[in-house]
Amino acid sequence: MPLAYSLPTDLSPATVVNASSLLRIVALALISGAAIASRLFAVINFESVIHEFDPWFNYRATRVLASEGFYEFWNWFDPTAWYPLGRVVGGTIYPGLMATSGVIYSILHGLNLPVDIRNICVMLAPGFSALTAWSTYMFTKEMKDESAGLLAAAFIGIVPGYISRSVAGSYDNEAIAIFLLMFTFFLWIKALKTGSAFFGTLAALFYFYMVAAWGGYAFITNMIPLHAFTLILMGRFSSRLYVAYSSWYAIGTLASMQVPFVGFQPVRTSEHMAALGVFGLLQIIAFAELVRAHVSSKQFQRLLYASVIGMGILGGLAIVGLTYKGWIAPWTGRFYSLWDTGYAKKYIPIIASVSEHQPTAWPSFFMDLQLLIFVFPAGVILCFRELRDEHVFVIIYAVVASYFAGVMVRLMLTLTPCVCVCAAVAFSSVLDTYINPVEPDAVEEEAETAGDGAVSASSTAVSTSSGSATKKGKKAAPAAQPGPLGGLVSTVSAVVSTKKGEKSRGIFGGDTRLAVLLNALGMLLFFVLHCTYVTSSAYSSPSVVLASTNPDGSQHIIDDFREAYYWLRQNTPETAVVMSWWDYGYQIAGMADRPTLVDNNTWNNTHIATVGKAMSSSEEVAYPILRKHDVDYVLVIFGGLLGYSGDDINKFLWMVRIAQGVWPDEIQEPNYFTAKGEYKVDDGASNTMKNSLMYKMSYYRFAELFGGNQAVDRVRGQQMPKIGPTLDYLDEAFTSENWIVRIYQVKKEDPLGRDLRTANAFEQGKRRKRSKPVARRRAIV
Amino acid sequence: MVPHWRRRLPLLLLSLLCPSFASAHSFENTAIVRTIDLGGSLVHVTTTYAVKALEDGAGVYTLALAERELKRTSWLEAKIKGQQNILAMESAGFDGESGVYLFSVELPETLRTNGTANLVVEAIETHATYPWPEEAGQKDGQSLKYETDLFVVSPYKTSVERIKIKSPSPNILSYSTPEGLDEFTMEIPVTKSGATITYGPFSNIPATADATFLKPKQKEVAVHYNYDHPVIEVTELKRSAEISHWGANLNIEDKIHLHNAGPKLKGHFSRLEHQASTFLGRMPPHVLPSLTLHLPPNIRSPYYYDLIGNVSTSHLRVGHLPAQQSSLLEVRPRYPLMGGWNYSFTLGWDSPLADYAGYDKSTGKYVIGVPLMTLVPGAVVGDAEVTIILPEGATDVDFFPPFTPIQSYVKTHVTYLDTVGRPAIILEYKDLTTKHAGTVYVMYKVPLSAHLKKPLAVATAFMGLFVLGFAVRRMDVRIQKK
Amino acid sequence: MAPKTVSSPATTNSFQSLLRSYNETTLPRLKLIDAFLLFLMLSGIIQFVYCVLVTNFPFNAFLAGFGSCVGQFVLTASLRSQVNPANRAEFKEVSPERAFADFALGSIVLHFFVYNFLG
Repeated sequence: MPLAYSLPTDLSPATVVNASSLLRIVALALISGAAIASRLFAVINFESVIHEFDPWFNYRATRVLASEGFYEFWNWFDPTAWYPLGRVVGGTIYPGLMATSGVIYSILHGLNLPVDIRNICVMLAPGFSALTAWSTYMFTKEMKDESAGLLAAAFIGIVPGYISRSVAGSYDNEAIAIFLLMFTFFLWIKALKTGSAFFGTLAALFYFYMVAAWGGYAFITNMIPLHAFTLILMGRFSSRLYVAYSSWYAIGTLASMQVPFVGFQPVRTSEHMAALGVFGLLQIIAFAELVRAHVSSKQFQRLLYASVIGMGILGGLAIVGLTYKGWIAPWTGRFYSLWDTGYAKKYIPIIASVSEHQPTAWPSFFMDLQLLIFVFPAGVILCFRELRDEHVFVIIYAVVASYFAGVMVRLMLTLTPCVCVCAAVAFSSVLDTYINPVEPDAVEEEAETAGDGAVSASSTAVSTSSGSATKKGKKAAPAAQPGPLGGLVSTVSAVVSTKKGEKSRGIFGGDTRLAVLLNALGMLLFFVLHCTYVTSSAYSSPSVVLASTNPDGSQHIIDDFREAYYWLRQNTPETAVVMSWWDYGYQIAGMADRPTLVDNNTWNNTHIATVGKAMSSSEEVAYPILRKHDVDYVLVIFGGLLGYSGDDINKFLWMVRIAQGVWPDEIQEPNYFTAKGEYKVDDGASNTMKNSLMYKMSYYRFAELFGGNQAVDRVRGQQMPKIGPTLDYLDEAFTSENWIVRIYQVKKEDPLGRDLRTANAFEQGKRRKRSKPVARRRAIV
Repeated sequence: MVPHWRRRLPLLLLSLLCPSFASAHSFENTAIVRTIDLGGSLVHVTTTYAVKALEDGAGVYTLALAERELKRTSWLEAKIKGQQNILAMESAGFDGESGVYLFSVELPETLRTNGTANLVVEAIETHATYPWPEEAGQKDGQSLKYETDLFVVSPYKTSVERIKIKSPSPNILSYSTPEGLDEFTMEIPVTKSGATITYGPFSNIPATADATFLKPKQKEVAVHYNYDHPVIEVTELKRSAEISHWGANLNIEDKIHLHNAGPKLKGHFSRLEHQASTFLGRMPPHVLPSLTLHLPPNIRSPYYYDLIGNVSTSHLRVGHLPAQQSSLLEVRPRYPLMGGWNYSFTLGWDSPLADYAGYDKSTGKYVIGVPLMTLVPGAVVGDAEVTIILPEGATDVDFFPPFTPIQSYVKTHVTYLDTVGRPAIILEYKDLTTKHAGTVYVMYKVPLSAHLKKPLAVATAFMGLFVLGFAVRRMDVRIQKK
Repeated sequence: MAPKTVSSPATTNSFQSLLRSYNETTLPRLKLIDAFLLFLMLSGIIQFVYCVLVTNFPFNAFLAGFGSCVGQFVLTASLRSQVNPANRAEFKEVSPERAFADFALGSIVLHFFVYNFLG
């Protein structure tokens, strides 16, 4: 047999096995190291701090868990959130993340390692990304072989699509959820392959963990039944499928109902019905199979099938009927918005107002996945070539996740592991083919069609024929060696058996191989560079701390948020209620430790709309609302001085829309535009806009800052009027260094019972006519 | 030496029952000059007693402090003029009738009849001034008020007495002119020149530490003056110093609660006005934009953070021995500290252990000197807790604080890689001032076995892991028989 | 189950032949398992009927009871198919002993959750 290059022949197979196993461990360790290291940009560039919005709540909850213990946490009622309603935290969160950190915290403290809980929270996501790399390795190993697994692990370790949600400090549910997702899928595949209830049970346990950790568990709840259902339709029902699915579903569903936030949803809501339906179907089919084994009559079999299908339809109808009767809740709005991207904008502005719920833009696919997105289809096609049960799974996963990733930016995260797996399969096939020193027999090769033969020949998991590599075609060759020893062993033993080879040139020669390999390696190199660049520049900003560059190139930290929050924490009474738009609720609770009206757990639309109304109406209208809710301070984010575009004026239209949804008579969106339909804040702004509380609070005394020069709002690039708005019902209490955070104190009622505007005018010496006292309008709440 | 009345309360009560005026008439003050240096939260009071003995062998002079003086005084020290030695001082009881606390000072040598000595008593009063008016707008100035008793309280007769009050700025808004002093002086009892107000001289004052004098004749004077620096208070200071022999490192960490005790901000904080005043360089006196702290020389990796993370606005200039005696840290709080505002932060640094510790071969003991506190210039420290964490396994611990703490005890502190924990000395103090910045000396033994405990524990843990891994790898968990 | 409800003469015959074939070919220990399965099914049906006809009041208790029946049923059914010699080829990696161990583990986990859910 001809060889492209010679291999050492004096290695015993045991040495090869041990060496490759050691190399694998070393490679996995290095991959874990790289995965963790690349997530530390945020800590190095900034500091060990909790990022963004939701993580602040998780962090706060974890601190409660760590200091008060689990039972206190479970029964935690937080009176400071959603003032005056309060929030039953234990029952309205996925506790998996906090429980994980809590367990790590107690273990470390038990070992006399008093690590600060903040550092555990900050480092949790990078730590779990190493586990994700490992579980992706295990998953891909089931698809192809160890080498593909290592590639997949390396991809998932540094791919920006996953890093975007798991940098150090991004202490969110996704931090552990992706690991759980991949590991549950791996266990499912393992259970399906071996038909072992043990792996099914394990899959159920990790499914439980996943349910406890992330709302995205519904993805698993639907992916696995979909896979099972597809297999049934393909005529691939087997007892293994029955064992794996039944044990997973029975235990997993019961387990998932232990999480208070999930409760009875698995038997009550439509999202979970597919799993139940497939479960029922499997029972029926299994029974039918059992009966069939004991009966020979053809006619009877036909009858049997008819009744099976009939029952399936009946079951489906029953579910639909129950939905209409109200026993089973119909799909939720968030679910509808997955199918109709315009749905949310029409009916639930609060969901649409979140930027990560927007449809994905094309460039972000490239930014998040780079070359993987191109190799991805090749990997899917390679799955088709073998099409074992697990390949079907990957194909379905690829299709479903691709769709979801297109609908919502945030769901890019679920696509990423699948892309990594497929790309790794494709890449490793290329590498295997071109590194394999055995030169295929060109004549035989051409005759063979690659498609169907390969499937039947390699359908079982344990195929050990080491020589088969030479018989198969170029691309099928590596796929045919999924034996326990891996591709390397079979290659080496194949080489050893052939003893001698001759150097040849041409299409199979070393130079051609080298060209392809170098090309592939170059692509991988660029991938690494791209990932590092994107991670360090785009995904490592904590958003609590902003950075800009000084003229001399050094980094300048803009720390306005923490400045203002810390001021609130240190210099206001502990019971002072702070009103802000809901984006900042968790941060205020976490950093300023003050009660808030609304926060990022947007469960009460009316409450949010109330805040929206207060912000978008005039002072006279807003004041009774503020007083009614005991608001002491109002906090707005204003970027006009610095050019920080994520400020409240830019979010203002969403406040108007959400308020309009509840009070269509009082708040109308068109009133906030100019006559020409433009959104303006300068002289040309509409009167409603100029009188709104938000506008006034943002621009209060802003023009004076420019000392007589023309004031310019740097975000919107508009010139502000010389005379700024005045405030009668609020006092400026604090403004941060760069004016990003402005805090206003709500005045108490005038002690003389005057209208505050009149009182203010009186104090300024501008007596108004007393003939027409301004009637205070009642808030309509 | 400072008398610590708080710890000696039982003693005080005891002496309250039987006030001892054994030496009450053995001295006479030929002259008393009291100088009061007004400041923000600290007021320095220096009183010079020219003493004449009335009988042979008079060696114990009695000082007296009225109740308010005592409450304010956090540091009291007596010396003979021109000498360095500090005289021993002891609490000598409380006179319930007049409300005067007595302290006895041992003179270096007993005086014969008509022998004289010049006794200088230095005191630092804390919380003695208060802002007046209590609220000030953001652009307003800052003025404080100080009230005190006019006559120096003494159990002896005084021939001549003069009280000088020095204000930090010549801008004195008002001062009181006591009346009804014809008995002691014929002239105008008060004169002002520049920043100094002088009361007296008063002559032929009887023993003032007496109810018959204090009640009818003691006068109260008040000075209302401008103060051009923010009045800072450290309401709470928690220092922990951790000694590591393996790392040859002394880590010191201070948790500091700052409070601006100046006039409360009237109305609201306006960033616009603040920026304008910064721009024009006319910062109002009660605003504290930043703070310069003197840290020890040769420090490494300093950190400055608060409850919600790192504060990036600080500069450090590390001083190196012997050229510079201290490192300078400029701390800028997250926001400028206006009157009445609070700010809390944590400050820490590492220093080479060799700069602080030594080994005494003769006793086999280590000696380490830990600075008691970081000076916040011009500030009084309300409650201080100093924790000194010794290496694990340290035995025979002795500690010598520079002055007696309110409370001190040893507890066990467990930290990284510890097996049984380390001894930690905790000292609690109240109302510390500039004068209190001393050094706590600690002596302890660390046996070799304790040194080796840590690496052994870590090695055992890792070994255990490897053995476990080895065992798991070799174990056959398959159930089926082949 | 569906086939039993159909009662035309032809199917009655095949039903009888099914029973006969079952009695003849099934191993005794599989029959034992089947008996247990039947018991579980009946128990589940009774609970379900009670829930529908009387009350579902402690819904979690009903779910726990019903879930334990269903879960135990499918786990036992899994055990049955794993130890069935006819399925030997399908379960290469699962020996009967291993199958029983899996079954035991699965049941323990299941009943742990059931116990926790009973409330």
